[in-house]
Amino acid sequence: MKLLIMLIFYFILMLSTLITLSSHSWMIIWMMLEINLMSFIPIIMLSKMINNHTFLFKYFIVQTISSSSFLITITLMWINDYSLNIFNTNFMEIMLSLSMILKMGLYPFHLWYIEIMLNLPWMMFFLMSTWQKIIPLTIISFFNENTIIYMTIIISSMISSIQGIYQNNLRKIFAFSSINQTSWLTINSNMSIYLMIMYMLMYMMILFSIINMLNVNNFYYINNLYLLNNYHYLMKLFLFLNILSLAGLPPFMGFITKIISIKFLIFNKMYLITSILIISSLMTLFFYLRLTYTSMILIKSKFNPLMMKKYSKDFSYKSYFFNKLNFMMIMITILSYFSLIIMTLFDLY
Amino acid sequence: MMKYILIILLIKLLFLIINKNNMLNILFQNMMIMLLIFFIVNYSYIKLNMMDFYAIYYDFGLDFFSFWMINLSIWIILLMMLASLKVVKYKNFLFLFVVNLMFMLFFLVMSFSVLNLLMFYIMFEASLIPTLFLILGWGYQIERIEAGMYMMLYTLVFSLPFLLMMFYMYHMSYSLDIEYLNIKKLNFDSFLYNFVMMIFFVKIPMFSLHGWLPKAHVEAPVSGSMILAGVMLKLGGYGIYRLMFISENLMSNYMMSILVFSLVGSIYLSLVCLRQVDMKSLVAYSSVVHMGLVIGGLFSLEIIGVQGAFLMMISHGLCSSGLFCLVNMFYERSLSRSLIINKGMLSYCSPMMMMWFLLCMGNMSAPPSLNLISEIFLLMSLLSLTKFLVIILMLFLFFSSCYSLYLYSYVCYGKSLFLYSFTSFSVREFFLILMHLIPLNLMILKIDIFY
Repeated sequence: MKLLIMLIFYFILMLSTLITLSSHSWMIIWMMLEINLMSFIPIIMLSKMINNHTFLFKYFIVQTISSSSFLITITLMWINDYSLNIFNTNFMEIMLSLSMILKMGLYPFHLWYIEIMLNLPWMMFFLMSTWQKIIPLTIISFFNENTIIYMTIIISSMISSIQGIYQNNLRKIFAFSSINQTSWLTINSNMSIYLMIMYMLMYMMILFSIINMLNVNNFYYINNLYLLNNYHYLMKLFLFLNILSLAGLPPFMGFITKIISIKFLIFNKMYLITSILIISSLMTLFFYLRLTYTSMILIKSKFNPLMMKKYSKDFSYKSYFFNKLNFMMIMITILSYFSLIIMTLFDLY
Repeated sequence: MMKYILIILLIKLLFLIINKNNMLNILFQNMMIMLLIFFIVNYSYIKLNMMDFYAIYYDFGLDFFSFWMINLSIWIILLMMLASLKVVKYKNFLFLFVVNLMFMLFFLVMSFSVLNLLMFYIMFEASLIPTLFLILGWGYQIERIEAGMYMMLYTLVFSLPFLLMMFYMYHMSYSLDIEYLNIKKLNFDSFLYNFVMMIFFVKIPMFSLHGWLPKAHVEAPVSGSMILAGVMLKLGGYGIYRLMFISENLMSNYMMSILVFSLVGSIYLSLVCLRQVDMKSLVAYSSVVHMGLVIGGLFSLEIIGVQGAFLMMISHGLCSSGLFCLVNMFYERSLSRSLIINKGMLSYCSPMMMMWFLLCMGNMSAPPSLNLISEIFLLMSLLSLTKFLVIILMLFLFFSSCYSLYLYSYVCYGKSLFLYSFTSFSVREFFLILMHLIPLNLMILKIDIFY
């Protein structure tokens, strides 16, 4: 029964995003925003991992504030259409972009985002940092570039990369890295929505393979990552390849995203914002590298099944390495190695 | 060119299938020897000027520079496997080690032979990651984490602005083909040109950007410091050679400042070498000193300077990686890299001290070595630029021979601490050093194959 309920809500969550991507009307977009919220909250509620639900109220309040201000702006635009231009359209765009920034948790409104991300289980974390951002990003792609968005992109990328440096909590690190990636995504969706979709696809692929690993093992702090020494060493290797890929280092798939967006930005002569984004991604590299050090140092340690049983949810060593999800992760890693080389060989960038 | 890259990829797959630990290193070495022989025989007709490309296939091509650099990198990687017996003997993640070396070779061959600038950049940065993995995975102390962080961040701070500049160049000329960019001559100001050059200055490394190099060398295992000194530094020089001429209009202002700065920095660093106690960091600083001369030769903008820099890179690659091997051999016996503990070794084994002597003389560019001819070329090009450089070069040559002599005399002579458990050197170790020494000292008899 519970499975059925979950299935329905996941279905609605997916459907609302897809309808937003293909709709023409502002009202339907607003409705889909609300439906998206109403289906995401039960998904979090029903998962077993959460003890206190108070943070959900915070999430609900923030989301309703942003979508109600979105509704007000839409109705004002509607009035504008029927009468003479009473309100300044520039004002509308600022209102819209502010409400979407609130919804995504970019800089001036980033405090709620980190606080809520700290409480989420890992798979909800993944949904929150990728899937929930598609609707606001599509809405941003519908109107022109304005200074509000530029300023938030610049400041949020800088602040997230600086604040992530001294964190030990894995969820906090990934929350800051998700803010940083969202600023890349926002500038991409400002340029064109197809760019954003490409970026989002690759980002989801890379992030899923990392988050899946953290979810299976219940890792919450950096020092927990040393428990990976009990596995086969190839597991550690795949984790560090994926993290470097998320950081956007050259031979991996994460670099394709960087190439595509930098090329677009340079061709549109946005030199300042590109250089700032590049500097911020350099600073995020610092804490991504901190995550990889645990897995790059090769230690020979005897496998201890009792210890692994203590730390991980449902652990069986034989089926661990070759089960389906890990197979997918390995495939993504291998793909990420060779896709970039093939792409540059045939000038596909 | 493409077939060799495919062969390297296939060898990787072969290792995945075989996965037998006891013969892995021998199989690897045999494969590498086969590859090297095929490569040399196939392209031995190459006898070219600058930027004359042979064997062009898709984005790949060879000229004399890249041909010899690929030979050097295969040779060094072959010797890396020979040098790190400890990994083989104790089965210290041997499979991962071999695969890592294969990936390193793949990235190096690609970056030396590719003609597209974006591809070159990707391979240039990608070769950093196996090196980082080598340092962190098989290194000795816990400070290797700091060394790895230094290496990554030093190179990436300057490489990401280069990425931005590269797309700016693409926007200016709508092509990233290196040869096309060299013919077209883009119109830069010196600020932008600095961004293009800075990534290679970090990699070479130039004086004042060299902070990562001694740290990385000291913490790396012997194979890591061999590849770093042997090939990775040459990647920077190769990049300068490829992209130096993309805007000639500002070279006359730009080159003099860089040239004098790096030469004076080399004098300073050779003075730093003279007061090192750690043998490995002495050799590391000496490689920075030599690379200062390479920058001088490249930026003298003369054909003889470029050829001298090229020869210097090859000879330095052989010489300093041999020195690192020797340092590691003493480290394995006395468990210390300190000059004070390792002094007076002549009484323990004199034949190996002969090897040490020959390598140190190679490092100070004494007659029978390849370093001599390269240094003569570089001095010719630099002195034809201005007479003023005589003073700098005199000091440079004096001090650079001083520290080589200092290293040799400290290790060989003096009163030794009595090391009772000093095993004599095996055939493998003599063979390893001879494989560095023979090309270094006998290539001078047929010097015209290099250009």
